Amino acid sequence: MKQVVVEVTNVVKQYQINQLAAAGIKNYVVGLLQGKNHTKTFNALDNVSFSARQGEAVGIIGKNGSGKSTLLSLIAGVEKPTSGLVEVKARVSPLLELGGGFHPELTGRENIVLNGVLMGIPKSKVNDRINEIIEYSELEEFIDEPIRIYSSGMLARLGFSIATQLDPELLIVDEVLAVGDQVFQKKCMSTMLNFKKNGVTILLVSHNVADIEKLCDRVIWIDNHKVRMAGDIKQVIRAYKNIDQ
Amino acid sequence: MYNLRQNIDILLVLVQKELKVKYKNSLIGFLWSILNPVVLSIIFYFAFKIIIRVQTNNYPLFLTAGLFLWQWFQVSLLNSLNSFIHNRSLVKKLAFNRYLLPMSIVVTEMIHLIASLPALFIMMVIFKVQFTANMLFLPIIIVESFILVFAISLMFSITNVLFRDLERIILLLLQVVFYATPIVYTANMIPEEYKIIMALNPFLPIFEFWRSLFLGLDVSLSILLHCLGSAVIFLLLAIMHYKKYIHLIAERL
Repeated sequence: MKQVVVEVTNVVKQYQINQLAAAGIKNYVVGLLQGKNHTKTFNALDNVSFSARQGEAVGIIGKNGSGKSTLLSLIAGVEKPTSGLVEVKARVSPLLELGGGFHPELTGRENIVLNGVLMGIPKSKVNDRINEIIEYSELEEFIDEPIRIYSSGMLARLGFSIATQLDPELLIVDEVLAVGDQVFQKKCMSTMLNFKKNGVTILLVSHNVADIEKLCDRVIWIDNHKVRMAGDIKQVIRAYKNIDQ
Repeated sequence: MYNLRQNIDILLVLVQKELKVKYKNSLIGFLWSILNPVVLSIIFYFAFKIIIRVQTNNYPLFLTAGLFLWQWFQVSLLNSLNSFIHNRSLVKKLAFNRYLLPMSIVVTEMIHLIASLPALFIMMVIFKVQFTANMLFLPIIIVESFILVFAISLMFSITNVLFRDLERIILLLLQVVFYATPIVYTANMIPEEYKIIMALNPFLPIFEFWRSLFLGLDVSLSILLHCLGSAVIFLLLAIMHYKKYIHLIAERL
């Protein structure tokens, strides 16, 4: 058996939304003086467990707002669980949202360096690979333009190219590929299939069931902040589709 | 999970980003960072030397030296206040050490200060102030200032994510600190009964030491130690604040 790369154990994630603090210090102080409790607790994940071994591709499905993105944020180390344990034994290459990890005023080329370095890759290595990244993205024409002029498809291309051309260990892809064109989506799929063979672990959130069937070994269905079903792709997807309709 | 080398790489790339973003919008960006303290110097010179007639030697040099340093502090504090908010897309996606964002702002503004030091050296020549070996303390006082300003910037930048209207309060506070610190007046003009309260101001010894370098005055090592002490205390407070609240930053953005 290969090494476990991602281990999520009994994870609970609650968001405390203090309506007063969000409205600023002035309202917060006034609210404290009135002695009311304005904190609302919202459960984003409720006792979620799952694991992924090296070289496995795990699909994550579920309705919008079910907690998928929160789970990925916890695995990427961006947020911390309220209780439970998240263990990740690999460098994470996250593609969590369109244009995430980029600065709009910088050019595509500058954003490659920024994004790569923030992922923890030495600057010298990013610079060595920059031409491969640009070539893979097929954005040569626009690479020295600020990315605020990029379309959503171009942002997805740039993000995917950086994440994949810098030796990912754990690749997390959250729906961002849906905006790319057919040709690029195919290219992404074949790159990810290749990675799987080479021992890269992949977590893929997608509403495109065909993509999940093509790439993933297992699938997890998150519904209403809990793991509703996990395991064999065909079974889980059949159940998911039945509920959906 | 990030080691020292990765953190240094990240800091350098973030500083480069700050400089690029700043100068992409206007090539005269650097001139602005000099123009502001210079214009203020002229205003205060008229107010305090010509009108109120403060008795101080080399008052224009005294003012400009202090205002250059203040410019570093003020711009660092105000810009780092929004450093998490302006870099939301970076913080929400990647798990790098968050303190590097306000640190990159303070470093960027420190580069501006260092780049404008020649202006102060030229003024020293004009006012016929002797360059002494004391100038060797310049890097030390800059490092001590850096620690203090970074510590305060870090605390404010975190708090500003939790309470979004902090900026108004900080703007007011900066006005208070500006006049509570001997920048337009000298420390020995402070009446005896206020000196104890004023001594609590961590900026006071920094300005005293900094200016004595440019005015060619004797320097006191005990002031240098005083600066270090208050910088370290603020740094410890900032680290405590950071450890307690930093995990909330990504989700509150």
